[in-house]
Amino acid sequence: MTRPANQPARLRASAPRDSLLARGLAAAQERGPSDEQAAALERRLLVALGASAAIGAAVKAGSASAPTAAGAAGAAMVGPVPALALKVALVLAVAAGGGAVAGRVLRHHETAPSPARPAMPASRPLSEVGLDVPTPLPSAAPADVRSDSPRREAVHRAPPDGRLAAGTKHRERTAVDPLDAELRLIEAARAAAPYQPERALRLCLAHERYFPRGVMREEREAIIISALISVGRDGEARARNAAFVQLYPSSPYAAQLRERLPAAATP
Amino acid sequence: MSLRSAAPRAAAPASPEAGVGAFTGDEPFQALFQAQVGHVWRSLRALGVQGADVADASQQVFIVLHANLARWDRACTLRAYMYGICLRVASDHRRKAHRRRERLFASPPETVSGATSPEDDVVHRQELRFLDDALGELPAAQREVFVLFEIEELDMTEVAQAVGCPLFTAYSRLRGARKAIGARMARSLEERTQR
Repeated sequence: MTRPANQPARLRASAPRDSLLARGLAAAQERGPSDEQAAALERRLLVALGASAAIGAAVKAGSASAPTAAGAAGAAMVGPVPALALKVALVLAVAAGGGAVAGRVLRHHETAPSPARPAMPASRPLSEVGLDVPTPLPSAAPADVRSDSPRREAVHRAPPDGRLAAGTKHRERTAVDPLDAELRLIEAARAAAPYQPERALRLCLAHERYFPRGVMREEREAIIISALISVGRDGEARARNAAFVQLYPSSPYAAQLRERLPAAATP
Repeated sequence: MSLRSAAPRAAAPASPEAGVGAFTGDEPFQALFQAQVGHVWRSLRALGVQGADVADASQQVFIVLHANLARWDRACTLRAYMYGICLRVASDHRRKAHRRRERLFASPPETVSGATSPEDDVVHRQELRFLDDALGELPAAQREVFVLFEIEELDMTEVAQAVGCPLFTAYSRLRGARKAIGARMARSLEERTQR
């Protein structure tokens, strides 16, 4: 299923940098097997897959080593959205009886590329199949490459200077999660759609106003089209549907809407 | 031999002789293993597989992946496919671990690469424990989405593919998990500061 690249910000980047949550997530992203564990696992796997000859080759080449420990680094801060949340909460309170929106502030961050590691040459680049594969070193790389450039140094990303001591008091900030606000609107609209299409429309239009490129855009459009059909605004429904199909050609909602549209178009 | 063609041969009974042609050190599957073992290990840990089970579960993931690559129909990304296997293997291991509580493990030390000193390492492990405790209290469905999105950093479409649920459901689970994790971490913080 294709979908415009539009993701909610991740908590590690959105939570205050020194918060327990952000630091816990950072630590979770940095853990992995030790070099010895990864090497042992590789040998076990080779045995399990019946490749005793390859084990010899791998040991000889000194290629078994530790895994990639991918993670996120550096965050570009985006401020909280209290005004937006207040508006959404108001819309929900009026239209769907929703409560105040609370959660966490979201910010964007960039993902650091996985560091390179000694690897056996692959006959086919794995990046072709959508996996995050580090650039392989030349097959003639010396066996002691690890001792020259310890891999663990390469994967250090969390700057230690920003770290607080174990006993330092953290302050977890309570703020607003746009994802939460979006979901509240769309959930309310979905619930209203079968029996109160007008209300579903109002909620979706509110979503459109506050989150024009929100992560729930596809769902919103589907609900709008469905609601327009329900209230007999077939022309608008068809126009919206045409745009919808263009934007989301493989949407799971497309078939459903197509089925409903002709019936609604027949006088 | 390509990654794809490895699958049918891997399904055959694994004897060292039979396997030599199926999987050699120069084949792509080993490159896949080396590139992904960290991701697999880490996600299994975050999904609740503990101690010595992590190595077993990781091996199982790669064996299943190797044996099933031919069935991968490209309807989802291979990454989502691999994480889908991780989820099932982790679920299976959690269930088994629950049944054999009497078994005690000496947890092998795993790396926490962000730690630069022993003190730092202690702080790191404490933060990890808080997070693991919080993850452990989540319903499995929420935990899976949270781990894949927040720790493994898949995009939500891939998360939905790996979990096998509609995108909207994935978002709902993510929201629920975030709330629960936030509340649990705040409680942990409170407890820590009171000590």
